[in-house]
Amino acid sequence: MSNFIFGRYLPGNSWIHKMSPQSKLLLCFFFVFIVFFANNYATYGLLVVAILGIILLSGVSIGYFIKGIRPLIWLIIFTVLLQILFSSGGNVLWSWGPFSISDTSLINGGFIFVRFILIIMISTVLTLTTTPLAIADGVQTILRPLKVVHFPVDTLALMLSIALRFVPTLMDELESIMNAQRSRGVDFGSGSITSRVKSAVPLLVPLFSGAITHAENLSTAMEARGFSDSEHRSKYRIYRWQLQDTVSWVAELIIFGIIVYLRN
Amino acid sequence: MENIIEINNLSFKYPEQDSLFSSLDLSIAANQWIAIVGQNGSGKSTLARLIDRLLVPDSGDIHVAGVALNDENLLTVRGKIGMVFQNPDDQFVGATVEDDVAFGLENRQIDREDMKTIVENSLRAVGMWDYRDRIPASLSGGQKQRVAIAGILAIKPQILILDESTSMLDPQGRREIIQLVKEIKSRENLTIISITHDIEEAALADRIVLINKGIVVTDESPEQLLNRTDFLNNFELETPFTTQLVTELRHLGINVPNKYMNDEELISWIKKSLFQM
Repeated sequence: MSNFIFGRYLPGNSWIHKMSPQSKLLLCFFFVFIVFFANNYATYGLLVVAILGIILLSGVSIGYFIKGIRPLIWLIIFTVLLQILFSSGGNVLWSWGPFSISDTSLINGGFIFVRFILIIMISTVLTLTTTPLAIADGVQTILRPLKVVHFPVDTLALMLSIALRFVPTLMDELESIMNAQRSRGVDFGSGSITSRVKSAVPLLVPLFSGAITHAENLSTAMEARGFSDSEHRSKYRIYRWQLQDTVSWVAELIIFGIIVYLRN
Repeated sequence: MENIIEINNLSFKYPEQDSLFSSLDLSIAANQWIAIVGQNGSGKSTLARLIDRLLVPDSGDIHVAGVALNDENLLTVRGKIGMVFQNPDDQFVGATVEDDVAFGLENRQIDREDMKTIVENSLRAVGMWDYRDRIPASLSGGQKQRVAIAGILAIKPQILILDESTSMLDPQGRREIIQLVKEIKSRENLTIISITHDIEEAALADRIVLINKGIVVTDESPEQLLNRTDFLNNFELETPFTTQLVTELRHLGINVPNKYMNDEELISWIKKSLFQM
């Protein structure tokens, strides 16, 4: 698990670290949206320059981003190969049976590759520079308008933050259950598919019953501390809109404008 | 001394189980440290939950600081009581130390600026201010219980209930928590109810209430109770180390006074008798 970069947080004090999570989240979605507008060399080139700039601003070394791509590289290669081998049109350079490679399919494959990299990188920037707690808070702020239709935004945010808080606790528990079951002779991760699935049962059942016990005790503790409902509460942690947010939005809107102008 | 907790004629039973309490009476004076001991299933933890109305009694009434405990003034009463539970992992609500201490304040809709000062003061009082950004997974059991106590100090209760709070800690963490509770008791003028299996912890109390099968068996001071080895063994309670030592000394024919002594008292008694010889 330790070499899995995607979804990890690196503490820092860069330009991007200082931005408020709600605006970072929205900017990240917006960037992904913009990526789908790009369709030629100029637009993709601009986006690559933009993402390099963003990485520089995040103050995180590029090595982390390359590590973030590594677990997804086979998916990317598979998709790009499908695109190259099965698309039609353009000057055919090579063909064999149902497969063919043309100049346009090569270019499209290259674009799809860049698109993947751009999307992975921008989301890695988001997760590397924002704590899970801040992301949960950002989601709450963004969803606030849904209160109009009686969507339980505060309850969802509370659930999200409790879920995030229990991830490491449950991971530790899973590990001790695994070791306990191993010490009693359960063999994980070998044998046929059916035997592997069967060996998951002595893991899942104690994990689930443990989670239910946690939930029961936690709700008692929350009640004892005066929790009655998630709506009538004040808030300790508030992320305010920063100067960095305004500047980033202006910059991203300008990039969007240029791309709409440059695209075919 | 006024009684901060009055329990009259309390009865309670869990669904599909035998009645746990029937007409229990107990009163606890303000600023006392009271230890509730007893075997597993004797109803100790249930009693704590009844006092905080996390469980609703079948009949009888409970008064906390003069207020009758019912559904209307539930939150008022809970504001007077702080509870620290057994499992440090299961009561940590916040994603970080700071957020956890703020949880109780958020529930009371305290203003954000005030919250910041209160959180800082409470964390400093338990010596955890330097850990404010840490996530629970990176803390030891004792540190998590310290944070739980900080969360309680933040709401300024009159009563602190420790529901086997040290039972999942190592001896070091246990000593630290007991020391901390001692400090804050004298500083904040708290009434402490500690539910415990640890007889050394019970020995610190002003009063020990032994509960068995929902009935108060004895209610006396540690000095009176803790040298009754056979009586304690009947209820599967251990005797403190000093009492065990005194028993051994008696077996060797040494005439030790028949009263409970804590570590220091026993040491000074031994020193004194050595000089007399």
